Amino acid sequence: MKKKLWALMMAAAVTVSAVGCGNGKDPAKEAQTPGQENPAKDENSAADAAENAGAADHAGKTITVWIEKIFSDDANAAMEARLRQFGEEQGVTVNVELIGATDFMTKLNATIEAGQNVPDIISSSTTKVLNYYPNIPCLDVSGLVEEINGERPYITSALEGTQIGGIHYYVPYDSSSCMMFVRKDKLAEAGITGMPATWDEVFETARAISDPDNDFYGLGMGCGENDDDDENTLRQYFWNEGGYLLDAEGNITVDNDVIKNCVTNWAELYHSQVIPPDAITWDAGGNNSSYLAGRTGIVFNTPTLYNAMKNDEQYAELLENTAVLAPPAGADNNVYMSYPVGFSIMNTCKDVDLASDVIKYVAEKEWYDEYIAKIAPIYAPVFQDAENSPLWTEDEVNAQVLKYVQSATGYYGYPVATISGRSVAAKHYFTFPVGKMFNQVATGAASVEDAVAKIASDLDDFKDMVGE
Amino acid sequence: MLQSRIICEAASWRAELKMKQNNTIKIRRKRIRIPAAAGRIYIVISLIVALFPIYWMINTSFKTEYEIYAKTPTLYPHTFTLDAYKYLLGETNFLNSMKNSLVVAAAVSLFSIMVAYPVAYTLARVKFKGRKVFSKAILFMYLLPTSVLYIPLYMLLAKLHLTNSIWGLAVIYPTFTLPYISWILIPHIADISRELEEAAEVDGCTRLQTMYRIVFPLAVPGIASTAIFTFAMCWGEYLYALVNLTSVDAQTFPVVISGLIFGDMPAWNQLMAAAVLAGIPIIIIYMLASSTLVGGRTAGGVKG
Repeated sequence: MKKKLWALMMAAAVTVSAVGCGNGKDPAKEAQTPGQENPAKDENSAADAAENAGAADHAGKTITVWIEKIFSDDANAAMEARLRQFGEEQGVTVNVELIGATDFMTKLNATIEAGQNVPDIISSSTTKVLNYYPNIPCLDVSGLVEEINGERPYITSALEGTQIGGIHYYVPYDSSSCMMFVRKDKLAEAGITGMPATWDEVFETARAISDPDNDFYGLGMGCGENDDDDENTLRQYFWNEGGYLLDAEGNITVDNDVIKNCVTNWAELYHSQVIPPDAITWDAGGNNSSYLAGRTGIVFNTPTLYNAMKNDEQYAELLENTAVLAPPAGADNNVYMSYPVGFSIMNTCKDVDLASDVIKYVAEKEWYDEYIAKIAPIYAPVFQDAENSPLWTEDEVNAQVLKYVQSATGYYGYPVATISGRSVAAKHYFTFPVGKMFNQVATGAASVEDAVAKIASDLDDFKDMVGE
Repeated sequence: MLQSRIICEAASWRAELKMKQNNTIKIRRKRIRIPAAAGRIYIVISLIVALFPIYWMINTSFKTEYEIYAKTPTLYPHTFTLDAYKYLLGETNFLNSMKNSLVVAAAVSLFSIMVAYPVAYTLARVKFKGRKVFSKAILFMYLLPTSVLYIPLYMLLAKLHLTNSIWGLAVIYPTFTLPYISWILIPHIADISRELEEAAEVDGCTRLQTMYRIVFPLAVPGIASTAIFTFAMCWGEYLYALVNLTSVDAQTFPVVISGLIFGDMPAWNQLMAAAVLAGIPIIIIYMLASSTLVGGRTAGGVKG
């Protein structure tokens, strides 16, 4: 009896704790039917705010902006200074918080769950928004995007690729990329004169330059448990060849010959020592570390790798011997994974007019161009006029990055078009399933059929979870 | 005939068994002598295994990025540089964050010992109804993962207007330090002889006086070691600090270290330099307290 009583008390305590975790409000309801004070009650509120921008008197108001820190201290400081400048000019108290990328979501989730101290504006991206589906806590800012686009047209891929279910939940601001880094000197040694432009050429070149006896491998494309870099590259590889995990309607299509051939091909390259033996254990830093160490000839990475070589004179020779190119095309297409980022207005924001003005202020052309110059080529602009800017046309690397951004229309789950399907794909992505599939086949832990069946089964589970 | 044969065989078995037993005893009694040199080699190997990660951390903190990412790892910095330390101390708020961590960890450790000692004493010495339930409840609280509590505690701090303040952390850290200290101190106090307390009572000490004047000095080694671990728990705490502290001025050092990671190419020398600097206060505190850990019980016993 005592034991039962004890167990009952414990269960009650756990239940009370669990209830305590919630704030008693349904975020879905908040997002879809904001309260009286919430300016989001009008579905076009952000658009209206945008129309009235400039005329509004914001003096005495307060706004909180959470900025996700990027690689450059100077760029972070510049963004913070710009936001504070808005505050000084408008008589507004702007609380700017710079938060590390690894910490951002944990902090944001805590404030949203608690229903307290939620920032008004956040650094945002498609993945961040989809993470909350179906209770997306960000306002529809399509009107604001339309207005900015009217004044300074967006690159088509940036404008259309950032819509989720036909809606903009964030204002596209800049975009990252994943470039192909090639050792020119190794290609020359092997008598190869042209740069690889297709996946077949990449593999052929990698075979030609591999020298495993001297710990040099042609291709640095891994598939470790947490290797999100190569997870993206592997996905891009089979997209380009015409293979997809899901179709446009969200049906699971992973069991197809293209994907199976890609997996088998990668495993064969691995066993032929064209890919380093440790590539199956890499994390996201594996490919760039191997490239900097001079162990690999071709890798796919963000331009952070380029900056690492450029900012350290000890890498001068390696940089001299490196070509930075847009990734190859496949037999079917040359769709690249897009990495746009921007600003969302949270649905708890009390003054959407003010929030819209803040976003427009940091998107103002002159300052924006200066800012982007500071973070090039890791981040590229999302506006069409970059095509006429010497910074993005005359510099070889920047030009390649811009070319990438212009072709970057892929996303997790591409080409699924439904919002629930994209949510399924985004949640599934964070288990890094494609890397695991390649890994299992290469290491002999599973057959191609079994590895593909596992992905299909996992996708099915995520569909159930999302309620699709 | 048969009977005598059986008797003979039985005697033979007994003799054989006795011989085996004697042999076994001899084997058991035989001491295995390990040469002194082998013992030392074992200790050296153990030390290398234990200290190598710390050595590697220090070694990496003085290297350039180029050397860190080199194909062949180097056992010592071929190009010695203090750049990582200069960056940390000059370009970030690392020193201020160390100060914040120090204040929170010291305040919480002191407060927790003050509150948890009477709790532990009561549960170790006083017989009352529900004592076992209380003991188990403390263990239950200690086992609750921080990931379950961080949102409710964030809500609590928001209501108290203590988010973004190190004093907010001082309010929530006892949720894990109090159960820990109480649970660890109970056996320490229970080990102390009851006769000393009875003698004190005979001499006219009240319960409170016995608790603080007789038992406390004897429990000092246990309290000191528990306090060190408590300090270390608060010192390196990350999740609560991450969620509750936002402004740069209020951050503790684990949050600052986490902020050094950008993308897929972290500056390992900066991270390692931060880890080296963050380890120094713990080492100093342990060195200062080590004399108490050894001598406290004796001092208390003499007094008793």
